[in-house]
Amino acid sequence: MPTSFEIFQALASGLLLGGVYAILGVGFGLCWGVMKVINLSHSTFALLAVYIAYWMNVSLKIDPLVSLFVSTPLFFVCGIVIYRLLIGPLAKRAEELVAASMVLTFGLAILMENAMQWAWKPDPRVLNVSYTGKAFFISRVSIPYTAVIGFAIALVTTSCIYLFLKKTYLGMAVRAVWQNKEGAALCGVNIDRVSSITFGISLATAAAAGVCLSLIFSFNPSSHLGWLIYIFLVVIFGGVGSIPGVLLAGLLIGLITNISAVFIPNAWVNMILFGILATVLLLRPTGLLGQREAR
Amino acid sequence: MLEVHDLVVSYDSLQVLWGVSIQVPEDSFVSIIGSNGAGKTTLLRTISGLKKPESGSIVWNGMEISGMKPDEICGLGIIHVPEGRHIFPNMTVLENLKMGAYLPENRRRVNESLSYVFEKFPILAQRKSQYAGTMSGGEQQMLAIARALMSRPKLLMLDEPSLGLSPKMAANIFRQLESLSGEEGLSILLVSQEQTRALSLSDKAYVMENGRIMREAPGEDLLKDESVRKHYLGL
Repeated sequence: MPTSFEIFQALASGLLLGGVYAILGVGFGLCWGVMKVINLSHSTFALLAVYIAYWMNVSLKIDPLVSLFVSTPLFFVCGIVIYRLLIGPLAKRAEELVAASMVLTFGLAILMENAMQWAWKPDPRVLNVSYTGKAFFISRVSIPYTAVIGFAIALVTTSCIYLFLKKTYLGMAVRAVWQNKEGAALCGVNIDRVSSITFGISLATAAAAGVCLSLIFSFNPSSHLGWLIYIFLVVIFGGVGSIPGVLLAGLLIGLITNISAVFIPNAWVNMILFGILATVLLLRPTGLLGQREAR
Repeated sequence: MLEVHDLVVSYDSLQVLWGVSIQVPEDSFVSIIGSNGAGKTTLLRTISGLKKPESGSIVWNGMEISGMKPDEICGLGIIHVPEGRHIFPNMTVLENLKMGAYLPENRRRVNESLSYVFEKFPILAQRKSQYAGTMSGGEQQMLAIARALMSRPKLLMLDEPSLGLSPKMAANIFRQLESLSGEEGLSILLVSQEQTRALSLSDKAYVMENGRIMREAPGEDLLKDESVRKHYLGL
């Protein structure tokens, strides 16, 4: 029987990891909702941010947290360029954008994976900074600094996105396009402009997520595929269209995987996870806090 | 003033408009009547830029606007309240109205516009923090019209504003349109199945059939016309 100490430890690490899943899910869900674009390269961009953090640390001795201020704006611009060059033209021609965008972004993901393999070799890497492996204790439960930092970044990023969507005119336009594209266009919203900015924001959050991931996991050029599964899981579980839902789902999935690992062998953890997911979707097909599709 | 000349519009290989010409003079109330599938909705969608024409011209105060994007056309003051309303269901009434004033010039006057539409539609003031999707059909239609007014229209185009509403609510919507039509600098272009009501408000009306304009006359004349009464008004 696991001790209460083990359970608290799992609770803490689950919560912290969940925050990173949430931030990945928020950006991915934004694209999906607003543009009907399923960006399979979302986690690949996160991985690229991981490598940027790694490279800056190894060759320039710069702390990964500082790389955040480089990769976030860089990815924002990247997102706008990719939208203008690839997604936008595709959206004009494709009849079924969801499917077409998956093919396009999967290609992009493969391209990036190979570029990263060429640049950094396929071996797994670990980012080592002064606070790696250090922890503080709450009674006997150890809380690694890296996990706390990752969680804080995740929380700040998701809050920023939430406030942007709720409190600014541009954010309101993003939600309007999401809910009714024609209605938004008739209000004077430039759909292309709002979509490109949304894509930029989405990739910027992938950069933030990447920095969190670099502190927590070892990585190699194909790590993004495993993360992608969790992204899908978080967004579907939380509900496409609900930032609080995705945040909650990220935290829950982090908790479920870590806590169930205390009780059962690791190989069974995904069975529990997907079992819970299936049950939730049977009871609430739109996800935990998802809203019904507007007519 | 809006002038549409010889407009031709197709969906893929299906031609829907066959050389449609209409004029909406300043400060006027114009309506288009005709049976389902006549192309009335397509005509409005083409004017507001949601649909690209094959040929023909749309001129607004001397400026060619066909081929412009919907947001640019919205910026000129041509505001379309589409069939099915197209409100934002998961946003509050207030947010929906604010979206109407999205363009910078309108955004500067958002508070002024809000008090104007709340005066016109007091129910929206009471419901302003309610989610738009939870309101009744009639209230949603009022919201759609109010949102359009937030864009400071010079030409307001309404597509079936009373469709699916209770008779009482439909009468209410038409009363609102009547009071709007008296306002300075606002023209109305109305497409409606409630043809008697529409014609009685109209300075001018067009009868559309199979993608063509069949007749053009003052609303009152069409109301008295034998063949129009028989075919469209069921009298």
